[in-house]
Amino acid sequence: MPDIFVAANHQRQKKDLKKAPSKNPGRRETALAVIKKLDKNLVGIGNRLSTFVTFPDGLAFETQQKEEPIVLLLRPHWLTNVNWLFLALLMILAPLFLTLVPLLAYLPSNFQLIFIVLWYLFSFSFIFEKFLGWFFDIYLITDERVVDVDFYSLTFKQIADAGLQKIQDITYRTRGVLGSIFDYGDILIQTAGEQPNIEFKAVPRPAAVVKILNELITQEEQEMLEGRAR
Amino acid sequence: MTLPELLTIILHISLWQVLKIFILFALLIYFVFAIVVVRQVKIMTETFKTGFETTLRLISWLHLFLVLLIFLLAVAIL
Repeated sequence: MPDIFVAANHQRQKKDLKKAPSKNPGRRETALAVIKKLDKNLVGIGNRLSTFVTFPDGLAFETQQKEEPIVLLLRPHWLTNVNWLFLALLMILAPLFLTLVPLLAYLPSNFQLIFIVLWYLFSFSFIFEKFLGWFFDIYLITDERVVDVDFYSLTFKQIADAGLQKIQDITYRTRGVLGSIFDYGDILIQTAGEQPNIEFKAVPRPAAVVKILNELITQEEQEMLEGRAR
Repeated sequence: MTLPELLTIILHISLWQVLKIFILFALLIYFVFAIVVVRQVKIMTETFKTGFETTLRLISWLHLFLVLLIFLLAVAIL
């Protein structure tokens, strides 16, 4: 009989061990605690298509270190897409105006067909290119650094990053009426030495981003003082 | 080919044939652009993994396939 009790106790102890929080929390848990301390509402915002995502799941970038958590993912505010979306709508509707203004009427019907098909193909690639440009215009904040992923023209890419300990000054500005109403703006991150400055353009909730960044910098400084910096 | 023969051929080329050659040439350049788009999407999805890799690559390949299809259509009907 006593043996049975021992076994049960042993099992319970094992369960308790599983439930108990680790004394050495991972980098993600540490960063999560920092953000929760700042504002609980900031955790779990957005999905993969959003412009402001905290602790995105299943996302990874090329230069990401092992176990480096992405604390914040930012993209330009969706309002920055309005111009090209409006243009795309006009492009899609343009062939309908041909019934009113018969620009292609002097062409044989087979040429007319090819021109219209080509127009829609061109419109499709315009929309796809613009979407890709926005979708991959990404700014990341991890527990160690800020990363700016840029794609210029068709095949040129640039990944700039700066360690949190190298950040010297952060300024943000909201521009114009739309920026004030919809709460988006630019954030300029000035770094020490010859490292290039990083600018987050037209990102949503710039004040919250700066708060998160400041909190992570404080955490990083604390880790450096305690000799835990990576 | 003598000069008069060459002149006869040139004079018998219609405006529509010139336009057809122009369209086919434009489509050929567009085809190269579509290949670049496929390559660009590959680079982008390798740089940043979002979970939409398959969808985006599929769209870029579909775009390339459409250009090829329209090129063949243009050859056939123009």
